Amino acid sequence: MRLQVKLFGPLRPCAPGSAVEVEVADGARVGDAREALAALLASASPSARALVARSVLATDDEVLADDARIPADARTLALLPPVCGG
Amino acid sequence: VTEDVLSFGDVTDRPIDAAALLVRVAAPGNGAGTLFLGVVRDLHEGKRVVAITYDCFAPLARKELVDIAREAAERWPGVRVAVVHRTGRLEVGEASVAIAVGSPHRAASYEASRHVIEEVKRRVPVWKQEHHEDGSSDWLDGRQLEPRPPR
Repeated sequence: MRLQVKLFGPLRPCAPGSAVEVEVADGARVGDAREALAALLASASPSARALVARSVLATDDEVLADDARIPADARTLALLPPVCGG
Repeated sequence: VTEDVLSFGDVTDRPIDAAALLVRVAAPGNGAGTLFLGVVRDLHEGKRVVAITYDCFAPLARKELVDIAREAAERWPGVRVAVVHRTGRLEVGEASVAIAVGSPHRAASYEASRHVIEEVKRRVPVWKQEHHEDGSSDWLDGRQLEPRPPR
């Protein structure tokens, strides 16, 4: 399946439009997608790999665990680096 | 935006109206009210800061703020909580987050307010880009988000 992934915070500058597309196997786990994103973004920014290692994937409703299956209806996910709100 | 009698949470790209937030938590049974503001400061780790841009994943940020407010209202019975986080570019002195709590007694009001800001910092997908006096900018490091434990 092909996923559209939106980038936030310090990851925004890593791709035009702050979004990338990544191809993952049907039934793949969230961690597989995160690995693919780390490799993809590392080519754009050397510091991105370490940042993606500390990032999580999320839907509009929840943060996804690495060992969870990617929701079958997911077309768009968000890649969220460490947060610093407040 | 989810709203009920006891709790409210939202994100906004406009200046936060703190007085309106206090009105949201007003009730005849309240004997205490607290307003917490997180404010953009002019100094961070030795660098002069002129502004901060707050980036945000709005759908999840809004949901987390709503959940945090509701959880606090459940944990401290009788307490009303309203929390709003700002997005976009804020100058020094502007409020980035506001938490209004109304409560029958002061202890719960202070406790709930403190709890809410700590949860905001831990759970809400927001990022700070600091702008310095010399024209440079830095994205600040933060805390890794975690999946919510099953309930």
